[in-house]
Formats: sequence, C-alpha cells, structure tokens
Amino acid sequence: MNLALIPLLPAISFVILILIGRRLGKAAPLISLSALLGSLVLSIQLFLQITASHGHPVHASMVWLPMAEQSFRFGFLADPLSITMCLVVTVIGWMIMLYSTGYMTDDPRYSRFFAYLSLFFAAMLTLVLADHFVLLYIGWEVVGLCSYLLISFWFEKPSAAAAGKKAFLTTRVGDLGLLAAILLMAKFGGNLNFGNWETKAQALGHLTPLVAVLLFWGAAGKSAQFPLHVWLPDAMEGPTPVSALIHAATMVAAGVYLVARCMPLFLAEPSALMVVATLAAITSFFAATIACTQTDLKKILAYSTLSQLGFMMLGLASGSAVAGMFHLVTHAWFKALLFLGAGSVIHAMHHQDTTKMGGLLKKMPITGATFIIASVAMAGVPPLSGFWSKEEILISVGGHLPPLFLWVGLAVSLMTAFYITKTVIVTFFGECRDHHAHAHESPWTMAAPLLFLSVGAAFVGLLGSPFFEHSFQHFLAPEETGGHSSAPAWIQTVSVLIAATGIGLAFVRYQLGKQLLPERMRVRLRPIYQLIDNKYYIDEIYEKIFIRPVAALGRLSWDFDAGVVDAIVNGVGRLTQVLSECKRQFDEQIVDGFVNATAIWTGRAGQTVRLLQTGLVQNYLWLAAAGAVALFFLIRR
Amino acid sequence: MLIPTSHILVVSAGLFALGLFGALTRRNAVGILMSIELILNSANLNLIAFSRSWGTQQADLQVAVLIVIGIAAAGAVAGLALILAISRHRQTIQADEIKELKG
Repeated sequence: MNLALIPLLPAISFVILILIGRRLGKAAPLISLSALLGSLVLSIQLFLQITASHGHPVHASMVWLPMAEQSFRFGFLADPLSITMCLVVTVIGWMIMLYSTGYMTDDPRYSRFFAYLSLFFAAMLTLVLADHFVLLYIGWEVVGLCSYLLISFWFEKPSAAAAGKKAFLTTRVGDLGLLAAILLMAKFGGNLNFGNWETKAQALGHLTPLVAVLLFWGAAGKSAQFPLHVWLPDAMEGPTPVSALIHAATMVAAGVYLVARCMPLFLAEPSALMVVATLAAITSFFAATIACTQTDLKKILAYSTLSQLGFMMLGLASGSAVAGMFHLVTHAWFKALLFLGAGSVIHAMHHQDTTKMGGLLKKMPITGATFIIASVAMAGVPPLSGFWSKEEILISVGGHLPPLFLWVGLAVSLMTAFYITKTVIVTFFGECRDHHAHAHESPWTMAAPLLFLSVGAAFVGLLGSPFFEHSFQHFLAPEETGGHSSAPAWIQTVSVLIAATGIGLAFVRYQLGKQLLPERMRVRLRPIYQLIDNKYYIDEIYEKIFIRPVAALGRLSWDFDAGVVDAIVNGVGRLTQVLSECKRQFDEQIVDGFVNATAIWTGRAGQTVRLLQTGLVQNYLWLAAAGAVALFFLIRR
Repeated sequence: MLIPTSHILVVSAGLFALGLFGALTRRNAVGILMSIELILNSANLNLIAFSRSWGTQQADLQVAVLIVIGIAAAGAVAGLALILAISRHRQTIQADEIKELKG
C-alpha cells in the first residue's frame, strides 16, 4: 500500500498541524516537510519501479461500497502520466514549502499555512493518483478549497477575501461541467474507471462530444482558460509561495492533466478537440497581450501563466498528450522559479510594482540570476527547458491543426519572450527607481529552493530532447511515435528566431530606451493599448452580465422576502397576539374570578370564625361546658 | 346503716357544679387548677359510689379511680409548672390577662 501512503502522509500532517500546530510554533513546517519528503521518496521509488518494468502501471484498490452487481472500488493508479505529475508536485512542492518557511516567517498564522499546504498536497496527490473519476473529483474539489483558503489566507485584506471568493465561485462554474461529465459517464458510459476509453466512447455514442466538452469546461475552470480565466490574476492576492505552487506549477495544471488523462475520449471526437484548440488559442493569445501591458510583477506572471496554460491546452488539442504534459513539466519548474524569485523581490522591496524597481541584480544576485535563468527558459532559448517543450507543442500544432493555430502559437512565443525580457530588464537592470528601498538577499531557506529550481528550469527539458533520445516522450507514451514528420521543418528554426526577436525587441525598447513604433502609429494604437491594459474589460463585462443581474435577483428576492413572506409571518404573529389577548382576558376575568372569589369568601369566613378565638382560656372552657350541655340534651332525646 | 348511692351522687353533683363554677369564674390560674381538681374528684366520687353498689368483687372502677388520681396529680404538676413559668415570664397569673392566642 505504498501507493496510498503518498497522499496519506500529507493528510496526516494536515490533521496534526490543524489540531496542535499552534503549539508547535516554528517547528510546524518540520512535520509538513517531512511528510511531503516521505511522499517524494515513495514517488521516486514508484517511478523507478515503473521505469524498470517499461511503463507497466502500478494499481492498488480496495472495495469502497460493496454492491450486489458491481462493487464500487476505491483505488490508486500510478502509470507514467500520473507518476510524472506526482514527481512534479512533490519535488517542486517540497522546494516551495522550504521556501515558505522563510517567506512566511513573521506570519501570525504560521502553522495554519503549512496545514493548508499539507491538505493541498494530500488532495493534489489524490487527484493525480486516482484511478477513477469520483476519487479524482474529490481531490479536484479539495484542491479548489485549498486554493480558496490560501488565496484569502490574509483575509484581513478585503481584496484577498474577495479574490478567494471569486476564485472559488469561478472554478465552481467549471467544476459543474466536470460533475455533469462524470454523471453522464456514470449513467451512459458504463463505469468511471480510467481506461477502456474505446468502449466508453462507444457506450456514450452521440454524447461523447458533449462529455468531452464538459470535461474541458471543468478543466478550463481549474486551469483558468477563457472564459473562466478571470479568477487567476486576482488569485495573486495570496502569499507568493501559494501563487507559485498552486496558481502556477501544480493545481492549475490539474486541468491539463485531466484533459491529458481523457485524451482518448477527445481523440474520438475531433469537434471537441477543435473547441479545446479554439479556447486555448484565445486564452493563450489574449493573456500574452495583457501580460505585455502589466506593470505589477505578480500580475505579469499570472497572465503569463494563463498564456502558458493555454499553450499546453493547445498542445493537447493537437492530439498530443505528451506535448502538453511536457510543457506542463517544464513550465512547472521555470514558472515556480519565476514566482519564487518574484516573492523574494517582494519580500525585499515590500511592494510588487515593477515601475519602482530596477537594478536589483546587484543587490540580490542569487534571486536575480535564477530569475533570469527562468525567464530565458520561458522565452524559449535553447537549450533551456522551455525551448524543447514549446517546440514540441509547435510541431504538434503545425502537424495536426489548421495553420492559424500555428501562427497563434508563434505569436504567443514572440510575446512571451518580449514581456518576460521586459520584466527582467525593468526589475533587475538599470538604476533603482525607488530610493527608499533597502533591498537585500533573502535567507538561505528562500535562496536554496531558487538555486535548486533553476537547475531544473535549465535542464529538465533536455529529457525530452534528441540528446536524451526523447526519453520523456517514450516514458510517457511508448506507443506514440510522434507526428514530427508531418510538421513543417522550418518550425524549429523559426521558433528560435522568434524567441531571439522577442528578446531583442524588449532589449531595444527597455534597455536602450528607444521607441519601437513611430509616433503616429503609437497614437493610432492608443485605444488598443487601453483595451488590453484593461484586460479587455472582461471583468467589467462579467460584472454587467452575471454579477449585476444576480445581485438584482438577490435584492428582488430580498424584497419579496421582506415584503410578502415577512408580511405573512408578521400577520400570523399579530393574529396569534390578538387571540392570546382574548384568552388573557378570559383567564383574568373568569378563571381568575372564580379562584379569587373562592379565596375572598374563604377569607371572610375566616374573619368571622376568628372572633371565637379570644385567647382567654376560660372562654374556651365555657364553650366546652356549653357543648357538653348541648350534647347532653341531644343524646337524651 | 348504709348511705344510699343517690345521696352520694347528689354530693358528687354538687362537687362538680362547685368545680365548674370555680373553673369558669376564677381569675387566678391556681384557682382554676384547684377547681379542675374538684371536678375530677367529683367524678372519682361517682365511680366509687357505683363501685360499691355493684358489689366488691369487681375492682375495675376502683382501679379507674386510682388512675384518675394519678392523672390528676400529673395534671396538677404540669399545670403548676406552666403557671410558674407564666408568672416568671409575665409577672401575672390572672387568666383574663393572658390572651396571646387571640385570633
């Protein structure tokens, strides 16, 4: 049962920390770190076991609900796909947790933070190791909960509380799609286990495209794809390690994982793949344009994450689960590194506005150098990791999807190189624009993960490169021989050129300070810039279309409640009051009348008889004598 | 010559009337107590008289007389003790001045 221990260890750590974490104080992270280390070691052991058996999956299950015909089983499945996710989550997660011990050091809810992180790991590992949809859905919902708890971790800030709420509600809209897909599959698709996709697709029949699109809708909620992407930029209100872990490297990749997991279902239905491709291309392109205009360090990275997730989805939509997963893995490394570097900068500067930064490379050499490595990796410069995975996606897209998508992919690559270079230049080079800041390098608990992740960000991609004989692709999908032949051969060259162009343009514009466009065109393009800078007004549109009507409906029901329901309730109350007033009168006048009359007459009788009691002993004797005489006469008669 | 029982009963009745009169009219508590003794003794006299007329074989009534005498003695003791206590407490033994129990 080593398999079940992987999610169980962080779960145990969560229980310990949430119950007695406060008493542990600064020792709290030791528990969560050691629990996750246990999961990490077990994952590596499983990985070795799977590679040794050439990708044969490890499966462990137990009966959950015994039923007459078919027992409902609860199990964990470690195949190449899930063990890859498992390794990404545990390795990067462990580094980020180590980083958090330094980053969160002054927080009053220190142990609670690690409790939530542990719960997140338990849920995320359940999600990726689940062998059927229900268990996956449980993990899916709990990571959503953790995301909510961690985004609004500093709930004293109203913006953080609102962002948590927004993330929770928006992903919930997506979760509804996943739930609907699961229910449809349970009803019409036979069973909910992963595997037997062909029979499942046959059993679903004409429902297959619907189920596939609903699955993607769920994935779009979690992976922040258009039109459910609005929560992710706001999610940056959370502590930066959370942004790195949940909202860049792991949880948001769960949607990509889900689509990769259900790939055969999508492959059976090309129309569903086109939906995925269209929405992914839209997300990827528009998020990249927004990222070019932002000045908030974390917002840039957030939109960059959106764009890269769209890119992964685009890779999946081209029919290659491997391409998407490969980019997921490399992206997890360099994006986690970017966020942790940004966190280190924010920790030093106490703000996240890039317009007030500059020249930080000299003050924070480790942060600066690692951030630059991650940026170059993301820009797609060979031989760093981003280059290999991006190329894999572009080749797959070029080979299987209409040319338009390839152009979108290339445009995204160009913009990615541009905005990340811009960010590096304004943050780490030139002169510091904020003279009050006393930036300093972060402590070792924060620097060590940066160094470790930078090694990964640089070299992980090599596993999927020709130098290592595409070992990543062969591990993940031995049967997928790769559609490399059908793609245009120039893609590789062009993608390098494009990365160089993007970096060069940003260098000219921000390092040399030259305007890229002539004055007249800049003026003409001003409205478009405004549109992009305001994130295409999507938040405002949602505000108008969804939030206002719902709020109005809420007010309407409030009025109905206050006007009609309350009136009825109050009327009933008033009626009861009147009735009870009548009853009170009856009680007071008649019932009490009888009782009081009895008392009054008894009192009067007492008053009368009282006169006999003179207290003089001889009077009593007189009475006794008189009584005796009376008795004498009575008896005699 | 034997005195007829009826004569004795007349004396007894007189004794009873005397006692009742005293008990109802005396103001002094000791007097009242003494009058009650008279009443009791009139009853004793009756009992003795009837005992004699029924014959000497039966001693029931004589025993009853002895019991009455005993009770009278006990009553006198209790009554005198009470009177003593009252006189100490109130500095009076006039029956018409003691009326705490008036309702």
